[in-house]
Amino acid sequence: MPRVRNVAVAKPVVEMFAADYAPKVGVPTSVEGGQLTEPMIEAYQQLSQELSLLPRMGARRWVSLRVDGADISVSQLIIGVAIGAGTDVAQSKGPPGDPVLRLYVDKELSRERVAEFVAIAYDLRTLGSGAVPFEVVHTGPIDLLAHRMRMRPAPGGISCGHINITAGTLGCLARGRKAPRDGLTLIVSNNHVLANVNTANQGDPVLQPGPADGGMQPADVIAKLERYVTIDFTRSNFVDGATAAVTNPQDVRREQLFIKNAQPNFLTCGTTPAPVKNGLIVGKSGRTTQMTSGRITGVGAKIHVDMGGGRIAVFEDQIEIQGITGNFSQPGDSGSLVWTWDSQRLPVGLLFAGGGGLTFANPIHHVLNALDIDLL
Amino acid sequence: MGEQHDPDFAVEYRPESTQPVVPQEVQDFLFGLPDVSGFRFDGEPSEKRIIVMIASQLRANNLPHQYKGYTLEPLVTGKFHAY
Repeated sequence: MPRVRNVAVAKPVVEMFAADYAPKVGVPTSVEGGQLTEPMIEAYQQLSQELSLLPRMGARRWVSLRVDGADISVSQLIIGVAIGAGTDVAQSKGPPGDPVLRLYVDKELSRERVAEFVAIAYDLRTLGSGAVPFEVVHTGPIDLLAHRMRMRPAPGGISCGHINITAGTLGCLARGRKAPRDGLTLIVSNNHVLANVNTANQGDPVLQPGPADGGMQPADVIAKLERYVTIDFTRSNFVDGATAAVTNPQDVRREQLFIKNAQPNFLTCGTTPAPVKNGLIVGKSGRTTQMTSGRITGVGAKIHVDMGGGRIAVFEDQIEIQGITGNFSQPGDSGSLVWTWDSQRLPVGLLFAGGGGLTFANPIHHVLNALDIDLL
Repeated sequence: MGEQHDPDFAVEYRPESTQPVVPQEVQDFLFGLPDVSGFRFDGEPSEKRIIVMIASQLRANNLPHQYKGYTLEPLVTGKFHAY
């Protein structure tokens, strides 16, 4: 796939997958805008400690606040804390760039209510008194970016990719229809994810997570490129697909990943392709936009796709999808399995391209026939 | 491709399209227009309506309304990229 920038992300406060990794965290003493005050450092230390205790200890869970007619606990409201340069003069009440305490909150509340909550829940009154300049940042829930992390066994919907690309998505598992491939556990994704648009060699390492998400060899090698469907730049294509043979079958699982309440969850998809028709509601789990739902808005589309470096390939007989709320996909979601949004979750397509609010997927029967595989 | 690949490794796939195909003459016309990113039938082929995905509003404004009896309906999408 075309190289995309590696987006810097905020570290989650709750380190649920790193429970055995707890280094001492240094407290910053200054930011670009100036030195930190003692009360600010103390407030930061106290809130950091309280937040790190919450998941295990249930600290102060009895403290709640009435918001929009519902009681929310402190653990639901304040989900992160940081020190940074002020960006909102109206909030921090200081010159732009001066150090401020930044509180990440799940619910949209005024800074006065947040200060009140902090004072009651943590007995920390320097925010309300004005001694500590602070800004309230409404982030909503902070995901764990689980779709970009290393996970074993690795499910569908998680980051992966050839060593020379950025990152795409591990779509699903399959096996060959004929010997000796019927004895292999195969990862299914796009040619441009696993085979770097026709340029890879058989046996090249495939990393999970993909290189843009920190995957390195040999530690993160999960599979070796086994087969790809050649993308022809001189005539129409139907499939952007490839398979990689899993090195250790214990390293993968056939379920699809999704995040619920900041926890990784898994759902099973069927293996028999569903008929493709206009209006069908579909879902996918992908490395960038995670689990989303969409509607098939067109079939039999013929499109020009930039495969990177300005090389245009023509694809025909493609499925067009639009997201129900927001985009169905973004760069990095390539390789995702598209399935019916119902209890059967039958496979429909293999996501590979998009733009302008549209997503395109190869019909799954083309993918299976081209690669001579059956889904697991 | 810089080297010869095993045909069982780098496979070719040339199936028949499973969906109704826009007539070749119309395809050639559409892809001959600047900034056309793609197209598909809108509804049944017998309705003779084609959605034309096009890169910019300016180009969309200049899209002919009809060609060879087919109604052309522009949809501004930008260009498509491998994700």
